[in-house]
Amino acid sequence: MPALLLTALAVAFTASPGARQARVVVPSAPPPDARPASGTGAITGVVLDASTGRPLANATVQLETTPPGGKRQLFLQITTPTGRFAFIDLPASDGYLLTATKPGYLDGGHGRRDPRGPAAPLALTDGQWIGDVRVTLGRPGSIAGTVVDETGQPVVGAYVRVMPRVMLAGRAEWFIGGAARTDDRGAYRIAGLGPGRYVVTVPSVQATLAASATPPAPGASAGTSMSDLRAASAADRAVRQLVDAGDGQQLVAGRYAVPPPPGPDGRRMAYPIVFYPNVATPADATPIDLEPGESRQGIDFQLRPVATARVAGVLQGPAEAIAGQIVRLLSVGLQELGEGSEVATAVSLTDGRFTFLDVPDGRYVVEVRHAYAELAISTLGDPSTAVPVPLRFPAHRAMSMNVSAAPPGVHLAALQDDAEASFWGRQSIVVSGRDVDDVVVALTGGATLSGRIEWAPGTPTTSVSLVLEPADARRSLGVLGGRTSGGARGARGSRGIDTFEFRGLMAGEYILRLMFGGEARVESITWQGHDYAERPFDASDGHDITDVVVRLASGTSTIAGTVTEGAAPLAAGAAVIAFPADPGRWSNYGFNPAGLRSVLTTPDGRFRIDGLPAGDYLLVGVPSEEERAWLDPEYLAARAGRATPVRLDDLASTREGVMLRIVR
Amino acid sequence: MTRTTLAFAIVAAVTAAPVGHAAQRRGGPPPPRERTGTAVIAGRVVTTATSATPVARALVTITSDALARGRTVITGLDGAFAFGGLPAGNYTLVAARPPYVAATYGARRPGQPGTPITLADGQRFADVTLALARGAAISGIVREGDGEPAAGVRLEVVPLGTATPDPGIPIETDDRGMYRAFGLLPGRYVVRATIPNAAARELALRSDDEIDAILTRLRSRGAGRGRGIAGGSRGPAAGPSRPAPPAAVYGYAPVYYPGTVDPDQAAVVLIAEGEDRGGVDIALQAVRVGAVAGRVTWSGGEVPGTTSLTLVREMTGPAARDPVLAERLVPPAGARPGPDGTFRFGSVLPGRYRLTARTVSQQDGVLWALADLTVGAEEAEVTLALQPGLRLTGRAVFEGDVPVQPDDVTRFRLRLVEMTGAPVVAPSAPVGDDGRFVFTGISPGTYAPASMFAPPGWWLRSAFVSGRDLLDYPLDIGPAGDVNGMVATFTNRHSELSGTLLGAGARPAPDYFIVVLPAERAMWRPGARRIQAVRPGTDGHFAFANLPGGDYLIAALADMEVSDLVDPAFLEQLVPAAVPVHLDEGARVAQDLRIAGR
Repeated sequence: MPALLLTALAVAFTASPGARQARVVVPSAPPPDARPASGTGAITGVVLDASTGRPLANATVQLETTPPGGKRQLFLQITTPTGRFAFIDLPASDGYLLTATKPGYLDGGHGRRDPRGPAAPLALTDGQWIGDVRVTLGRPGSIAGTVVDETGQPVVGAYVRVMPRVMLAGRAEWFIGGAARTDDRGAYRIAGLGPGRYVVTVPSVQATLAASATPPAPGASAGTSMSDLRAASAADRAVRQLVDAGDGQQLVAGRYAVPPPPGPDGRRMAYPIVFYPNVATPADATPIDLEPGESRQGIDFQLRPVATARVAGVLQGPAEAIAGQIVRLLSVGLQELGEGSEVATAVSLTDGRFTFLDVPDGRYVVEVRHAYAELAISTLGDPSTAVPVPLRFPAHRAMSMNVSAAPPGVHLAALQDDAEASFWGRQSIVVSGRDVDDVVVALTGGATLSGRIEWAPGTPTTSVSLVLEPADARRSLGVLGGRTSGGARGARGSRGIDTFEFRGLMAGEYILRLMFGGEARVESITWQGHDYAERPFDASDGHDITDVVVRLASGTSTIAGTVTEGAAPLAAGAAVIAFPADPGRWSNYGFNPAGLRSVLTTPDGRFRIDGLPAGDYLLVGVPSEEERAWLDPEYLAARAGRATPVRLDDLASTREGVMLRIVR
Repeated sequence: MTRTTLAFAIVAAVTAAPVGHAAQRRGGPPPPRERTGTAVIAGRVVTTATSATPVARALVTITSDALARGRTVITGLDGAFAFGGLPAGNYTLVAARPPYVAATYGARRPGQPGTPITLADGQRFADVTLALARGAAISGIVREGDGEPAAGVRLEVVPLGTATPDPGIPIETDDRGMYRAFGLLPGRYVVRATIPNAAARELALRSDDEIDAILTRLRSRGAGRGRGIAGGSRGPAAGPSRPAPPAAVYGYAPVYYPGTVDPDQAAVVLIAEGEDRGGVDIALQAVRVGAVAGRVTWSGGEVPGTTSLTLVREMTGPAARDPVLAERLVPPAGARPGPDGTFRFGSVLPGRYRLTARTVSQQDGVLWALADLTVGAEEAEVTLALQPGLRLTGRAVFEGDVPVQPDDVTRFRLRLVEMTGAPVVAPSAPVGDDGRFVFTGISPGTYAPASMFAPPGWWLRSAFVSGRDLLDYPLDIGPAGDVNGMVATFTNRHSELSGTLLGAGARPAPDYFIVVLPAERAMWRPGARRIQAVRPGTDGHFAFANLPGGDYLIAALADMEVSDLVDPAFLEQLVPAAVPVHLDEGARVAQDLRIAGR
C-alpha cells in the first residue's frame, strides 16, 4: 500500500533541542547491499546550481534501485570540482532513482520538481550509457529577524515559527512549519524554506498548574559531596519552574518570555501570541511571499505585554471523564493549529474545576478532547517544528503518517488518549477586561462506530489496523484508532472474523481506512447495504454506527503503460494521474485517498501504478509539474473529458499497455 | 593558573580540636507535606558589571530539603525578590535569566556549587545579592573544502574539565554556514563539527581526470554514446570494457576547530566571562577513511542476536586519563553483527581503537570479546571469538551494632562498577544465606564493588582481595581469569567527619571549600571515595559522612574546580596547608578549622 506510508512512533514529536546525545551511536538506517550486483550500464552527469547554472562540487549523488524481489541497492558519489559524477558497471533496472544533496541547498533529483517530491525513474538496460544527466539544486529561502520586548531588550530563547499556506483537500490552510529560537542577541533565522506564502508567529502559551497537582522537586541539603552538588546543579535547571500566582495556582515559567510584574491596577500581565507584524491573528498578518532562494530579513517583533484576566470553570460529565484533563484555551480561528498554538492550558482537578491564568482579552474556545492531529510541512534538514508544550496532551497512542492529499513533504501527527477515554467538549467564551469564573464545558462521549472484519477466502490473515480519518481533513477531529474485541489497540483483527470499535467520534464525517494489513487490501466496506469504502460516515448527529463490515482480500492491481506527445515519444517525462470516474470522490476524501494517485514517468514516458482498489478510473498524462494538481477538484473536472477510462474488476486486476497522450 | 595560585595561597590552620561526637546530623528524609514557617530569604539580582545593574524578570528559585518542592519568583524592575514563610532548613538559591548564566548563592563562579543558606525559625536572611554574569558566546562559519558555507552541520561546543556537567546542547549551522553557541560558562572548550549521518555514508570520490577517462572509455564503446537521457543508447556495449579503478573511499569525519580530524590536535578555545568570541571557523574536509569489518564467532553455537559491538578510539593527552572527556571528544561507535556474525564499521578515522563485543543470552549468559587494532586507510579485518564471562567469588561479613539475622543476609546484594568507562554489562550478585556470593558473566575491565539494595543504614565499608581493598584500589579483571576469595564487609556504623570553618573573629566562614583526602597518595585516583569536597553552610558547618577509617588530610580552599580533584598535582599542593585527621572505623570526629592569618 504505497500511498499509505505509515509509521507508528513510540513518542511523537517530543524531540527537544536539548535532547542529550546517545552514548553509543548506532546508524539507524538498514545498510543497503554493501557489495551491489555488478553490470555493464553507466549513468553520468553533472550537478548544477539551479539559479546560476554553476557546477556544484562536493554534492552527494545517490543512485538507488530496488530490483523486483531483490535487495535495495545504493550507490553514492561526491561530485568532482567540476560538478561531475559517473556511475559505471551498473546492473540493468527500469527504476533507477537519481537524487543529489548538498548542504545549503534544497534536495534535487532527476525529474524532481519539488525538493520534497518524487524523482522520476530512469530505465537502464544492459550495456546502456545514460549520459549528460543534469540535476539542479536550488537554494532554500529563509526568514530572519529579531525579537525584542517592550523596552527594546532582546528576548533570548523565544520561539519563532513559520506557518506555510498550503492547499489541503482543495482548501488553503495554515500549517505548522519550521521553528527557531532567538539567540542571546534576540536574533532568529528560519532557513530551509521552499518558495511559498508564510506567516510568522511568536507563540506564547500560559500554562497554569494547580499547586495540588505539582510534582515534587529535588531538595537541597548541606554537607553533600561534590558529586551530589554537581548533580544538584544539573537538577536545578531541570526543575519545573513554577511561579506562585496565588489562590493555589502556579504558572509554568521560563518556556516563553517572562512577563513584567502586574500593573498599577493589580492585573497580571502576559505576552500574547503574536503574528508578524505584531498582530493578533493570522488573518491580520502580513503574509510573506518567499521567492525561491530568497533570504528575507527584518521580520522583527516587539513583544508587548497586555493586561490579562483569569478564566475559570468546570468540566461536566462522569467523574472519570472530568478529572486530570488537559484543558486548552484556543483563539477562535486557531483551533486547527495543534500543540503550541494555545493561548493557555490547564489541568482539571478531580472535581473537574480548572483555571487559566493570564488570559488576554479575546474570543476563545475552551476545549477538552481525546484525540487530535496536526499537519506539518518539513523544511530543509528537517529542523524541529516543535515549540514547548508546558502541559502536554497525554498521548497514549501517537502516529505519524505521510499525507498524499497535500503537496510533497506534508506529514500528519496524530495523538490519541487512551482508547477508553472518549469524552470531549467545547465551549466558546469571550474575555473582555474582567475575570470569567463560570465557564461550563459539558463533556460528551461522542458516537461509536463499530463492526467486524471479514476475510475473503484464500486471504492470509494477519494483524490489521484501521483508522478513522476526518473526511474534510479537519485536524481538530483527530485521526482515530479504535479497539478490537481482543482488546488490542488500533482496531486490529488477527484471525478470521474480528470486531472493531471506534469511540468518541466528534461531530463530523469520517472515512474508515485500512492503515496496516500486510498483504490485505480493502475489498469493500459495507453499512446498511451501501459501500462505504472511500465514502464518509456521518457522525454529526451523535448516533452510533454499528454493524459495519470491512471485507479484506489480498492482491495488488497494476496499471502500466506509456505517455506520448501526440504520436511521438516523450522527451523529458511526464506525470500520470489516476482518479475515480465518480466526481463525488474528487473531494472529501480525508488525508490519503486510496483511489487518487499520481506518478512520474521515465523520460520516455513509461509508467506503472500499483495497488489501486477495484473500480472505474480515469487516467490522464500531464506535464510533470502538475503531478499533485489533482488536489484541486476543478483541475480533474477540466481533464475528465480527455482522460482514458480504465476499469479494475478486482484487487488483482492488471491493465498493461495503456497509452495516454499528454494533456497540456 | 590563577585558580591554582588562589587555592594554594589560602592556608588552613586548626584550632585545638576536641575529638568527640558531633552534633546530630542534618538533613533526613524530605517531609511528606509542604511546611510553612517564619523565615525569610530576600535580596536582589544584579549584573556582575561594576554598575551592578538590577536584572528584572529573572527567575529566582529556592530548593530545600525542608520544602516539598522548589519555589520560584520573578524579580521586579528593581531586581528584588523575596521568599517568605519558610521553615527552618538548608536552602539553595539560584537565579537565572538568559543570556546570563544561572548564578547560585555562594558560588565563586558560574557553574560552581554554591553555599547552602542555613535558616533558623524566624530568621531573616535578607540583603542577598545574586550577581548574574553574561554568558559567553562562540560563533563562526563552517565551510566546505571549496569555501562554500556548509549548512546543517552539527556543532558541539565540548567543555574540557568536568566543571560543566552538561556535554553541551548540539547546535546546527544555518543556511549561511553560521553557528552561535551562547550562554557559555567561562572555561576551555573544544569545538567539533559533525555532518549528520556521515558515519552511515561512505563516498566514492573520483577526480576530474578519472571522470574524463571513464567518459572516454564509454565513448569508445561505440554505440553507447552519451547524448543525453533520451538519446542514450539501448544497445549492448561493443567490446570488453576495462574496469575503472575503484574510487577511493572518503568520509566526512568530525572536524575539530581549527580544521583537524584528529581530536588530539584540536585547538582549545579559552573563553572569558561574557566574551563574544567570533571567527571560530571550521573547514570541513572529506578525508580518507578506513573501515573495520569482520566476524564475531562463538564456539558454543550461533552468535546470539543480542550481540553488540563498540568501537572506542584510544585517546592521548588529557582525555587518555579522563573517560568522560574522551567520550565527549570522540563518542564511541556502535554496531550489531548480522545473523552470520559479520559486521562492519564504515568511515573510521585512522588511529588506534579498542573493539569490544558483548552479549547476554539466556542460553549462554554473558559473552565477550575484545581486540585492540590499528585502523589505516583500508579496511581492517578482525575476527572476534566470544568467550564466556569471568567469575568473581567471595563472602560477606557483617559488622553491626545489631547482629544480622540469616534471613536478612539474603537482602544484601553486590554489583561491580566498571571504573574506566569501558562498555560492559554491570554484573550483580546476591548474598546467599551462608554469606557467599558469586559474580558470573564478567567481561574484562577495571572494577570496584558496590552495595545494592542494602537494608536501611547498612553500607559497604571494604572489599578485600589478597589484602587489597577494591574500594580504594579497583581490580583489573581480565583475560587472565577468574578471581576468588573476596571479603566484603558491610557495616551499619556510621562515621562522620564534621566541623565548622571559622574566619576572622571566630565568625563562620562559608566562602570556602573543604576538601578531605587520604594521606596515602596511592589512593589519589579519579573517583576515589576518600577524596571529597563540600561547601560549608552559611553557619560554617560542614560534614563528611561514612568515610572509611584511616588517616586523612583536611584543607580549606578559597577556590577550586570540581575537576581539580582528579589531578594528583593539585592534591599535592594541598598537603602543606592541610590538617591531618585520624578517623577510626565508624567514629564521629569533630574537627573545626580556622582560617590562618585573619
